[in-house]
Amino acid sequence: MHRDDSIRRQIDRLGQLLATEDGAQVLAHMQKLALRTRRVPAPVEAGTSHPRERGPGARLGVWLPDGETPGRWARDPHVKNDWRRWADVPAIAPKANRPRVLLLGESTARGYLYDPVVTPARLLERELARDDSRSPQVVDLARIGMPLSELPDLVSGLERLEPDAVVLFAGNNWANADYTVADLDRLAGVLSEGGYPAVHRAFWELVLRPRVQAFLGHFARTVGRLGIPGVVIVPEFNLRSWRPEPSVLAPILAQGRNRAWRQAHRAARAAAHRGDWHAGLEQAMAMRELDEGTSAMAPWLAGEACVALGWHEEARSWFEAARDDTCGLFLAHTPRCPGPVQEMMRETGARLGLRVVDLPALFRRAAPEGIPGRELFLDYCHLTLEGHGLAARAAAEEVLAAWDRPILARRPLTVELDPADEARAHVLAAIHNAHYGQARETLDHHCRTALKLAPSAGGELAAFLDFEARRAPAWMCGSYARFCEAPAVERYLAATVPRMVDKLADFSLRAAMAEALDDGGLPGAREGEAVLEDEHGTGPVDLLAYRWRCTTFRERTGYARSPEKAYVQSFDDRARHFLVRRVPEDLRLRITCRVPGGDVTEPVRVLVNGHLAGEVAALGRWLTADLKVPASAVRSGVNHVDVLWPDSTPPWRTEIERAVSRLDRGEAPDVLAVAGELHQLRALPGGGADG
Amino acid sequence: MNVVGISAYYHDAACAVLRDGRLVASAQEERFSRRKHDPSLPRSAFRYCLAEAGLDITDIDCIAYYESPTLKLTRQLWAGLPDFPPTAPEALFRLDASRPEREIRELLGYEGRIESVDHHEAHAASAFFCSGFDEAALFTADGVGEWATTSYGRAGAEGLDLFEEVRFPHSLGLLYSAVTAFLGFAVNSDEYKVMGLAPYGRPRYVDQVWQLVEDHPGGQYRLAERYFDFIRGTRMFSEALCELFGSPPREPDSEITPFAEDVAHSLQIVLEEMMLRKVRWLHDQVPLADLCLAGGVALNCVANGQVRRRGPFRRVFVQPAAGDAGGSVGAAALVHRRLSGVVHRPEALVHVHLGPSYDPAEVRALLAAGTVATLEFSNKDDLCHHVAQRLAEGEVVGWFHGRMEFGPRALGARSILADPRRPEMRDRINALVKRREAFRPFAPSVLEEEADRHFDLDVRSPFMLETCQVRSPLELPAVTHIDGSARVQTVSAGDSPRFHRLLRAFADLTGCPVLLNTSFNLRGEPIVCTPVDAVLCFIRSDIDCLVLEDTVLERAAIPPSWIEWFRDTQPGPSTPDREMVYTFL
Repeated sequence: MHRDDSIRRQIDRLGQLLATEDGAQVLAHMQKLALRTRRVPAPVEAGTSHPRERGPGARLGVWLPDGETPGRWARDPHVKNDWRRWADVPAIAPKANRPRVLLLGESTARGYLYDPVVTPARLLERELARDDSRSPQVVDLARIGMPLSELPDLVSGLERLEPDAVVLFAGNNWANADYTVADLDRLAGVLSEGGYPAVHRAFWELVLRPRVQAFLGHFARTVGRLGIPGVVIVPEFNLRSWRPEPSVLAPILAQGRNRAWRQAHRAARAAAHRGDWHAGLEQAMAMRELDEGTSAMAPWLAGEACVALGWHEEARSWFEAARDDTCGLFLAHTPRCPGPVQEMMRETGARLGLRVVDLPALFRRAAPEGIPGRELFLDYCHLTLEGHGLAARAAAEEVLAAWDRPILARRPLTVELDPADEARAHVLAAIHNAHYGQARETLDHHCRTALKLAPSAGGELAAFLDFEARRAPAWMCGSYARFCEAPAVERYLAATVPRMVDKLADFSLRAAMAEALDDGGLPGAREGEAVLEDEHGTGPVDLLAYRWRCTTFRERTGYARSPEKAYVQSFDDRARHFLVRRVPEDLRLRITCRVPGGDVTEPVRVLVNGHLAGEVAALGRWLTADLKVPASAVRSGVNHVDVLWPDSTPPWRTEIERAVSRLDRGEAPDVLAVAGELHQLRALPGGGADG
Repeated sequence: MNVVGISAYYHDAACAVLRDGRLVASAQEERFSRRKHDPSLPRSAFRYCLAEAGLDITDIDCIAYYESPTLKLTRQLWAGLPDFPPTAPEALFRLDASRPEREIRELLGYEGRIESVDHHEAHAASAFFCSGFDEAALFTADGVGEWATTSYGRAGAEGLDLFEEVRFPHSLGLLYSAVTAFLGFAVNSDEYKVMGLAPYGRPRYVDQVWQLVEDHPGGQYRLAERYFDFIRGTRMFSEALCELFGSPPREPDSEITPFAEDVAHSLQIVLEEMMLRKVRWLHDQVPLADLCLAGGVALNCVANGQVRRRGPFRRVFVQPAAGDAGGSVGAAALVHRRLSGVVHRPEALVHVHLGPSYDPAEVRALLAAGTVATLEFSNKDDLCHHVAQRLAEGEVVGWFHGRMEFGPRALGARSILADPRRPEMRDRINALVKRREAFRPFAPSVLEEEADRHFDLDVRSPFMLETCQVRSPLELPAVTHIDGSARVQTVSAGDSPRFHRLLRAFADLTGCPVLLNTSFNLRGEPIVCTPVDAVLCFIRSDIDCLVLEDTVLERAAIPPSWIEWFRDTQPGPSTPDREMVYTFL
């Protein structure tokens, strides 16, 4: 202990000097330096092996060795919360007298949206099957959301299952990296020097490449030590039919370029709307020049223009850029395997003696115009039956070649599936696509495909329209229980997730479902609307609640990995909110808003169903206003309340400095340029007192 | 004037709102985030409090923060010496005095004035401004705030003055926490379990515990630092403590041994004796009739009872949220007084129903969405009679009514209730509902007007912050601790009308005006906040029936699908973001 008063006085003085944001950064840097130079054990880097749970009784995934039957594994009841993430395998039987192939991977390897009715493991087993009792057995060890950091442990334990080959179908989750303190430190320097474009470029070399190479090396060494073949399937992305989430626009750009970027974005959208594809391409390229490859929106718009112009090779390149440009910016994004990772898997895999199934090349050959889309994908990365069939056949060929066994006479590639199960996959795909910001046309496609495959899907669409409309969480609704009778639906239920209580603004999805039902002459649409109006059509409404403003999961949780805020940020120049009324009525809208970087001349405009309800001065500080909305502007059913933000220049220097500070402190930065912020938006009936 | 109080970044983050000096809403962040003891800046509690108070962010005159970040930083830097700054991996990024203001700006979006008050001032104010006393002596004790760990003061119309303090690392709270850790329980969470364990033991280690803490003149005391390791180490105690007790530390979740019971008992004796000595000294300095207690140590209701019965003060008020959560209330009260210059006579806090409530119609609509059969009651007496009947028949009831309690105790708004006369009830609830250690006692709630017939208690005890002896003509085995004591809540018709009505109905039916009352949550889970939280807890437990406002839900009526989905699953906060991708609804 330090009894000396002079020490205490000195510490007091130091504390005062360091009690600022700069002081916190200084202290954080001193700590990090000390930790690095004193060789205090640092957090384990992802992609390396973790020496834990290695004993003979240790768990592998969610399975434990069965104490009574040697070689048998059963699910551990102590981790029941985790069961749903892993393959639907209650027990792994003893190996017996058959070659055993292990399938590791992520949700694509689970057969997401088909699982457990169809799984890649079963398809692979079918492709490997022989006409005798020695047909290989495929053990399904796939796990949804499997992060790169947990794969090494699983690989280290595979020996205990006595495999004869291992197939790895992973890589879509690797770009959603968990950053170490050292990563953040390095990237802080990069951000400070070159902004987000530099961070995006540095991400591959500084963060992702070492991890992927470390893991692939570990995998190759493990299968090499066991003397068995290892097959790596390189994942592909839905290049043609996946659009970036509409709200994920551009990060903060240096020199205040976000303002020009927004203007070009508006011009590009307008050009696309009127079918002027040359102009659209020009504006998209202008956007990309401004953002230096840090927004998926610019290349995606360019790709769409090129498709319309018939320039398919160029379109493919643009769509690949759209796939990759979101990565490495501290933004949460849908799973994907970006080009640099695909290349690492091909190159490193081949160099280390692994067998590589190149899905990008395979799908290029299989897809119309060489750009894989919805014929091979249900969403961003999860495959259709056709996609799974191609992947399973290619993987089986590699396994058989490695075993030096002949490729047997081929069965048809088509996977036999009950039309009701296939229809259900499309119902689920419609929901999933909606929650990741896909266009109405995509939702229509899945809803109508489902009904075309099996009219019984109409019951599922109607059930969705019912439980989605209710205040109760989905799992509490009778209609949801009926929906969940199908195992493929029940599989993904997780009520501990708050979204099960707080629903999303599924109005585009509801409209797609309702129209598909009506067009098919099936019931459910009107009933669903009646429930919606009954549950929500009266009284005051907090329009900042998730279900009135968030059409996607990311709009709810935030795109950046920084902590959630107590207010709402808009990244686009329009923030749409939904309001349900049973009958038209006078309303008062109470709004509290501000525009970062304000004050600007143009006001914030609030529209109700396209009619101007009022304007609020666009200030850099919060301002509260009450806007009266006459009943004539309100309609029965779903109303749109749009907040239109004026163009402003974000305080980019401050924002980038703030982001660097956050990284220095080990926190994720806010990344996207903010158009406007809302602390309050309430609809109060009658224009009267607050409710 | 509208002042928002915030406590955060250690444990039990909370928010409180004072409108013109009157406490209108407060809540802990854990109730919304479902992360027990959530320390993060209370974003959800903040939004709730503003909405409840009818305010928007532009209406706030000031946000009051419950400790001085600069002083806290100096203590952290000092504690790390001779390293400068402290470099243990767990200390990384924790030396950040700018964080409270920065995050209040960035995460809450607040642009106005921010004031901070000293941690123990916030504790003291949280007690005094809720006490109803015109003037009082102040005693606060916790683990540590900035530097102070124990404070002494007085408060009155002139304000609040803390005139003496004991400084870190000497701390009654840390003494108790270190032994809590040695006994295999969680620090800043499970100290009350040690208190509950104490009556099972004998005072075999009192001498050893006195070697840990040395009394000094006046308000001072000193810990024998060689037995502790909380300053720079990763655990609370040193090997010397193990040698002193002649035993290695208990493994968490292992069997409770007589040794652990004896150590707990001895620790409790020393704590009570130290508190009594210091309170007596305080009375010498502040010879008033009334005493206010706050700080985490004031959640030790056994010691509180000793202070009131054996101490020199005539009346004792303990802040119901005596831990850090209550600091939000104290900070707001102090800053309101500082800014407004208005001296309010402290209003007595008569209840802590300061959290969210849910309309009975909303509850009905919620349950009507499913296929679950319910009983509806439009008449409150009928409802209470029905529930009383079922309690009398031995059923365990989940009881959800009105605004959620602020602070750690369930006081009839989010409670699990049962018949205290049944000997098997304690084990049943411990094993099947709460899934917690069998030694922990349950508390009784009693009609205020009949309390003294059953308990040796001569004052109201609406917040369950004091223990006393059971002297009931009835056998109350399920709420009587092994030493014959109970942690009593007295329930009045004015403060908790429906809960009082239920107790009355039970008394009319059985002659027993007492119910077993424990918090409505599972082990490791915060107390339920919303009706959905309550339904999930109901499914995961073995509670016989759930009363959600005017609606009764039977266990037998739970749809099989709910049981299939949630039975044997763990309550907890949201799934990590990556996992959420794959829940499509």
